[in-house]
Amino acid sequence: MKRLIAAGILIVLSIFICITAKNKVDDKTEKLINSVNNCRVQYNQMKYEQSLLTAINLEKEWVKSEKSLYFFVDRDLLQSIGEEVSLLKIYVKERSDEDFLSTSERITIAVKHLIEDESFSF
Amino acid sequence: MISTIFRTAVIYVCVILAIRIMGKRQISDMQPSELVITILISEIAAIPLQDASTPLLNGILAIFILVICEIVLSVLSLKIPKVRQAVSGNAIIIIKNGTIDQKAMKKVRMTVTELMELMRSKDVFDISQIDFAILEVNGELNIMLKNEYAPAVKRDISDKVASSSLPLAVICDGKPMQSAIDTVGTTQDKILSVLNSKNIKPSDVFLMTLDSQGNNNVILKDNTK
Repeated sequence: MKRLIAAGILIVLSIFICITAKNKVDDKTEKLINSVNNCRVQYNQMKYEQSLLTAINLEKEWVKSEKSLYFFVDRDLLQSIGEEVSLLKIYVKERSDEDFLSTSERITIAVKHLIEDESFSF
Repeated sequence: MISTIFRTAVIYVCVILAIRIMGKRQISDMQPSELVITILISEIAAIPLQDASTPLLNGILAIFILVICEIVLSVLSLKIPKVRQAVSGNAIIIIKNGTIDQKAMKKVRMTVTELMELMRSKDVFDISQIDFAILEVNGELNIMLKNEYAPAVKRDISDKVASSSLPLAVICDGKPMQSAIDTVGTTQDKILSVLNSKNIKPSDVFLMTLDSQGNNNVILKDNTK
């Protein structure tokens, strides 16, 4: 009976961890994707100042998000996203269209990988 | 470096917890499913320790799931004999009425050399002395000797055999062990009076054993001898 209770507790704990991880990843990545999209739209509309501000805020937000995601997601993947996010503001400052677009695209793809890692698959 | 220490400590606690929940058994006594789970747990526990980029929770969660699987399987095995049979297999009679069952040996892929080795590990050197030999699911060979070779027991000599009782450690390193005292069916006062009669202080006792029939054995600490 004790072992069954222990198993029950472990099941509840495991489900809780899975749900928390999924929610956390979905929440943080959604925010990131939205900010990257905003930044891209502003850049395309030549609102460079606004785009730069969004990129700076995005980096700050990501640094915060990264810490909580370390519990659930592969650290290497998070660090590579972090590096790309920090490059974004530099490319906005330099008005380097190609680099900005490719970096924002790389961030989107990396985030998709991150979401896929957390979803159910064989 | 600090995170390595922390991760190692957390994984250590989780593995200990997992092993405790699964129950205490030696590797040689494990059922096949238990052995698989134990090997898997040790492998999985090593991954987050070796690779710092892997989240600790991945390892912990995998260990939890394995423990859950093991508990569920053991409960099902307990309740449903067919599950037990499928998971653990059946004991197989290798020697029946003194005759080796060669089909059974082929079935379990056991050679004569292995059979002889297992017999010797049970202190049986002559196959003709064996009446029955059963290969258990954990790979152990249990042997029933023919009547004429079976060792004599007290019962063979006399019908009146006094029942024995288990001596328990009632004082360890000068401290009374209340659960053992309760099991033996005595009290601390009675134990103290036994020690008083021998002019021994409880604090000088290294080990005192006592059985339910009152037989005791006292070993003093080195510095009080």
